[in-house]
Amino acid sequence: MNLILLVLAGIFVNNYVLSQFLGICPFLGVSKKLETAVGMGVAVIFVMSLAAAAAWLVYALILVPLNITYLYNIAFILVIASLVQFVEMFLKKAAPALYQALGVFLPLITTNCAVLGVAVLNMQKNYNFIESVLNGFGGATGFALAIILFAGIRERIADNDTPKAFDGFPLALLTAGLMSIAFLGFSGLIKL
Amino acid sequence: MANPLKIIKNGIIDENPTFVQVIGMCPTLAVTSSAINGIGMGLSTAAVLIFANLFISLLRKIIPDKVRIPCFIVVIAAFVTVIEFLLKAYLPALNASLGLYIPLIVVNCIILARAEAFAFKNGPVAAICDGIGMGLGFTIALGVLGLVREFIGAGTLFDITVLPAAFPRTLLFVMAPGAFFTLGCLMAALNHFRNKKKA
Amino acid sequence: MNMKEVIRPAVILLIIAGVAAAALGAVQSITAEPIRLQEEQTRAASMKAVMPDATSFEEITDADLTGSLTAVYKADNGGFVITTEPSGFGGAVNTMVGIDADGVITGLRVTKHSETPGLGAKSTDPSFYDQFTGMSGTLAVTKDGGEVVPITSSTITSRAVTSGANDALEWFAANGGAY
Repeated sequence: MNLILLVLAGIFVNNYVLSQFLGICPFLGVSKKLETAVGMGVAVIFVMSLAAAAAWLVYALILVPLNITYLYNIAFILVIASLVQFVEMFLKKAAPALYQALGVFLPLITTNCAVLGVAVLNMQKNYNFIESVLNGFGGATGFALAIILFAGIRERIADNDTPKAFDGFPLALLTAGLMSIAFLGFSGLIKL
Repeated sequence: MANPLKIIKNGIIDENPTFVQVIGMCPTLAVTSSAINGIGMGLSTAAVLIFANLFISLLRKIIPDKVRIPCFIVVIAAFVTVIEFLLKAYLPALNASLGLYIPLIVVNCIILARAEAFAFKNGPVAAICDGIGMGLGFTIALGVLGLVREFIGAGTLFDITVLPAAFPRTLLFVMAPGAFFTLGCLMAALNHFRNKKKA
Repeated sequence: MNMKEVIRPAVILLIIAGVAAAALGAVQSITAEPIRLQEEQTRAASMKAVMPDATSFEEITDADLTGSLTAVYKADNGGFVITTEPSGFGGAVNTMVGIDADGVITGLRVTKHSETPGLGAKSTDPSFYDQFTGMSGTLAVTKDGGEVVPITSSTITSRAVTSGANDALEWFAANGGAY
């Protein structure tokens, strides 16, 4: 399997947000301003690549040898939660500037189902370590791309006069629907 | 203790997780391409929600405040795994069509939100009622979305063909964009009625 | 913060996690058998669908999985059931092909796919998969000069299923005699 294609497929073809519906909560919640969307996107890329690696290691080195793969769900979510905590502490000490920019988004990522989703998908598809990390990275980049584009559109919509009933979430959902149609154009582009 | 019926009604109508609180959006959009899938997902989530609420409420005096979130997550993940086993063993077809979204119930914000906001602060009976109300509210929302999408997109209701074959199907509605459109329009309609009521 | 404040929550969390893991272990051991039976039944049902004449199937674990093959099963009537995973429009298209001892397809089913609803998803309709029954040799869709009639507007899916069938036929031609 071509590793570059794996990343590109994650960004465009199987976009987590727009075609698989993973990570919708932050996608809708943190996309009112372009600036915060960029912060969230970068934070997700960072955590999701790490989480894919950590979850793979836990699965292959602990769950499989001990024959307790049925605990995968508990194990993955705890790994992700502690990883997020750890990243937060690490950034606070080592890179205060980066922490300032990403800090508020980090706790939110624990409940971003795209992160757990990537871990579970990697397991279901039997990806090896490199494939898992790249799948996480590609998927997260796709998330970042979607949320940044989405925020750009929402900023422009906010200045316009829209029907009152459509204010807020309904309009955001319709916008996401139109973006999803656009991303449908990518399907079939890459064969894995 | 508040009236149990009131708590249930609160979950279904006043604080409907999907239409009012707008949480737990991933499964709401992902699995509602048919009514059966939507209701199956809704009931699975409701089951996890009720049991997680009950246990967290029972353990609320034991769980230390500092580690409550990890404790919630462990309890929730355990029940999700139980549901996954049961579906695999007794309803394999539903399990296959819900696929990845069953393990992902763990990160459905509804469950963690109810654990934190309700179950951790209330007695077991109230917690169960809250679980039932929120679970039903979620199931109804998913069922309605599934019905609309299935009808427009495939011309069927619960897999029974209702639209004559000559009537064109709007396939887009069973695909990803249709999920966004349907939910957006349903929410706009609800907003419209609420605005009218207020005025 | 004194030690007691740190240790107590940690111990309680550990106990809860331990109890949860033990409970899951118990549920797992209870449901393991029904789950295995269900999976076996589903597989047996689709195997019988692609090879109605056979009654039992046994996996050939040391088969050389060429092309898009994922597993090979030997049927008691001398034929083979081969599962393949060719790439379609929206990802892998899992197909199961039955090939009898003479190298003729006895049946084909698409068992799992993520093709476009209403288009490529029609590959699970009998009107599409039934045409494979009785075919042999190397297959191709009509557009490529063969005899497989593709699903309208879904040439990619049709080609994928066809290539899965071809991979199975090729495996049979190369290895069928050895088992």
